[in-house]
Amino acid sequence: MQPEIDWSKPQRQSKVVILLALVKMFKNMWPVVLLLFARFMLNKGSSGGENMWWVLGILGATIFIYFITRLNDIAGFFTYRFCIVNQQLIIYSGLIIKKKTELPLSKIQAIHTRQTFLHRITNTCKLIIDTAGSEKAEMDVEALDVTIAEQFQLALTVKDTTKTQQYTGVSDLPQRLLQLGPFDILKLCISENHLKTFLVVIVFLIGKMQDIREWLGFDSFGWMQQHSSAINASMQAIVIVFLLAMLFSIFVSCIKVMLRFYGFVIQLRQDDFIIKWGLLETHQKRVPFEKVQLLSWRSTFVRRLTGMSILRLHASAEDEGKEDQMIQVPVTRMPYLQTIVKYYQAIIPAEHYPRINIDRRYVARQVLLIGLPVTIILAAGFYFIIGWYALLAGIWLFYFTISRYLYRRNFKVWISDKAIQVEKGVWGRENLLVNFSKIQQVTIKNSPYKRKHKLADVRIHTTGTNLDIPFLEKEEAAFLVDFILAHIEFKEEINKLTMPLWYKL
Amino acid sequence: MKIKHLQLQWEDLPRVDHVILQPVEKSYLKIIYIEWSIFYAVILMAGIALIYFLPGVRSLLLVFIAGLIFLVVVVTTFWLSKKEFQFKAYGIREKDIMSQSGWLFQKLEVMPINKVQHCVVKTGPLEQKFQLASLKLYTAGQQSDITLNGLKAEEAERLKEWIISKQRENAA
Repeated sequence: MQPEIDWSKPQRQSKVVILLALVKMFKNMWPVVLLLFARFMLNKGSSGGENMWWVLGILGATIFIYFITRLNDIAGFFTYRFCIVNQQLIIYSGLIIKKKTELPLSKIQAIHTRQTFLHRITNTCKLIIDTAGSEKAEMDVEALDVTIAEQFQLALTVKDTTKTQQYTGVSDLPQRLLQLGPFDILKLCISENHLKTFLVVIVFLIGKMQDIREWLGFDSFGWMQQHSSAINASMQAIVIVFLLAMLFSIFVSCIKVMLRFYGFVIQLRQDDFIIKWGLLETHQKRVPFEKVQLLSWRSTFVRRLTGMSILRLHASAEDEGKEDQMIQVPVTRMPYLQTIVKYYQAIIPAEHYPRINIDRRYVARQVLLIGLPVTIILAAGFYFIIGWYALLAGIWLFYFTISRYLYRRNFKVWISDKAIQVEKGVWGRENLLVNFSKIQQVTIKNSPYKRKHKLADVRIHTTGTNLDIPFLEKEEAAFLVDFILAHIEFKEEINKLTMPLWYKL
Repeated sequence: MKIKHLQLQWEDLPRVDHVILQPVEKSYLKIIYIEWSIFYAVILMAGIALIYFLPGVRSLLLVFIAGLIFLVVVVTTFWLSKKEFQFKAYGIREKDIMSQSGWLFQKLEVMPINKVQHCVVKTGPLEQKFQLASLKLYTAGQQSDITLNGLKAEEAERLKEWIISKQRENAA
């Protein structure tokens, strides 16, 4: 059993860091080595082709360069130290330029652990710490023993003993909220956006063919053109190729879903959500309830029909580019969604409060300001290529008008005495739910047209993302802003009052 | 014991549209003009250099049209800047700070003081000349920082100190 660690003394990463750095080096290097070798073999004997010594020289230089790039990671084992002193996480790093980072434990938003195959066989994990604030500071430990990592996570979790337990029924033992079974994974695979995957696959293949031409000197496009005349490109053949491509995309989508959501579990422990997922690379994220800034759940058209959605817990200063680190919970049944959401907001506004719609004039303005100009530009551009057929750009304008109409019709706002919920979408749906206490700032915007028609836009800023509510009645917008500000600034006084129903405004 | 649970009315809430906003210092308009002048002077010099070094563009008609467009853009910019300056204002309430900007496309930003993470007073070389400063307020939110430009330097410092003292009161 791992003895209790004194976290006030600087601790080191696991020696596995050195192994990981070498593996990463080989992983980045082998495609280059393979391509060099393939290029040499293809061009061997031809005039102007490279000789064996040249290839070996390039290979040696490549290995040397990749080793240098990983030197920092290897040095990290010797120089990277961390400890916890006086409720502060202190990190010492740097080989030539020494750096000391101090992080208050209260600023920690979430703790993320990841295990690749190599981590699993060496019983280690990678630990990432997310913090709040506009200057994001992260702690990134490449390898730490699993039991030490668990102890470290517990040591990092700050418990505010002045607050009474807000969530009744949450014990110290982990309580499972949701676990995905094979049937749930299958439902997610079927309802995934296969068209998007198909387009990604096509773009990827075209990119690789370009790379092959550059690296191997082999013109794959030219080869295809040469041999295409030999192929009897009948409609049947084209349909078969298209179907095969779609099947392949569906296969890739399913693999993506399996890798992303295999073994997905969400648990409650004390005041934290603990979320685990992943197949080849397992992830675990620990997020305190209070650090969840807002919730969003979205469904594609197909998922809406089956009652499924992807719930996202937004923490502060998340990197929108790192999708694998986002906390995404696949919800295959509606009751699961309500179960999780209630830990953030006990009463979901849409279930108890009347809704507010945005003004009808939204559609006309969108068509006038975006739809028409884009259509005119497209038609003008295509006219020089396809003549009067360019007028078919009108089909896009028709689709755009329909989509804006649906967007306006589906845009709903509900306001309770604690939170605001927005639902929007054309074919799919996205819901955003924010507690007033998580709102950082509010903005009212208008334009000459909106001033004339007594309309305004409201933007609600949070640390997660911003909520935009366009084309509200001016009075509604003003009341919404006043109401939100009152809840943030006069919380205790407001809680003693009941809220007026919106339709009485 | 009688339990009171009063109905909330909009009239009971502090109203953002009832706040009397304070315009920024008039001398800030001169700073805006000077900044735009520097910018357009650079563009003009680049244009002159282009005409001098590229014989292909030395057509009288082309130069005349380009010059006319340039003049229209400069005049429009200065006119718009003046219009926007007239709407530039800020408001301070006990628990929040407001900033209004824009002429055609108006914007009113309200930031509660208890959400301010930190604030910074900035003074550029032009602002120093006119004894002005900017106060920038940061929150933890995305794209939700407010900048109050065109304040008197002492006022910016005083406001910053006041915000810090309010934050200490809230923390206590």
